[in-house]
Amino acid sequence: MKGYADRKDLPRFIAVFGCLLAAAILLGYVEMLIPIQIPIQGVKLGLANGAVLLMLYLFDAPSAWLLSILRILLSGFLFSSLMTILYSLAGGIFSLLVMTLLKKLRIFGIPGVSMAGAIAHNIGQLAVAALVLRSVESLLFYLPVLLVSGVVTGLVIGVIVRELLPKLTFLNNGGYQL
Amino acid sequence: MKKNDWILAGVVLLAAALLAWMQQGSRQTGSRVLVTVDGQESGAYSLSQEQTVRIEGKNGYCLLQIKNGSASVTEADCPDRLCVRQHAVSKSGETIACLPGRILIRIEGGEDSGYDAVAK
Repeated sequence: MKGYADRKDLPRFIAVFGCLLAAAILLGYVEMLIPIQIPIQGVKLGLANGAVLLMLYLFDAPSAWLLSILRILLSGFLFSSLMTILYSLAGGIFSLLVMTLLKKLRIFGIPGVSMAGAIAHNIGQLAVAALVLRSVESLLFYLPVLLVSGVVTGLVIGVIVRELLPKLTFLNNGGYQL
Repeated sequence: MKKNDWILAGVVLLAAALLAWMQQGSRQTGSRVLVTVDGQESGAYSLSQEQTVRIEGKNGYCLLQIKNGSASVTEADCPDRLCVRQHAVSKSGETIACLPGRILIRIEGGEDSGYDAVAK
């Protein structure tokens, strides 16, 4: 986001940001509607993270952070409770911390960054849950499943985003680079 | 996909498998259901005794059903109701958590007072 304000492509940025934010909220909602739910707490597809990933790779980390936090606040107030917002924020912030760092280090491809983000998201939420319940055992019980689900969902979303990115370079005026 | 991506996936899956395996090793058929609310123990029930218990949580309640040697949550007034969707638990260390109500339902193993695994 740094520098966008004094550049000519600010309107483009705002338009893309708005579209991706709307897409992220919608994707999160669609996910809630999927009738087949895995009967384990905390396992979800993380479709909305796809929009955050797109933002991270199309533009930069600060815009991805803004998108993620706005999405959590907006869909939280629209569809769920304050408590859910806190859990989501914990997962979202931890996930973006990891993804921002790993993208900068350039040691992983997009699927790897996405995977690490999904795992970090699950661990972040689990840590908050363990704090709330004041129980480390519950954390250990859920950890293996949440690790595996993070790998699988992160991989799926990451591959989708990697395939989408080259087709979406018009969104950031061709400035996309890996 | 980069090679490192595969390595990351492999390492995490391996860690998960190892963790699950370690937990599985120490897991036996449970005998008691331990309920804590907000970190405070609120009740303990025998797994061999069929019953339905109403647990008052922080901001709501849930119904704990003990049947056929396993415990499940059949009803809750939280918005997401994840605890109701979860499978029944019966092995020691297995957990059902109800986050909004800060309720933790945990199976404990070991010797049950009086009853045996026979009841199963």
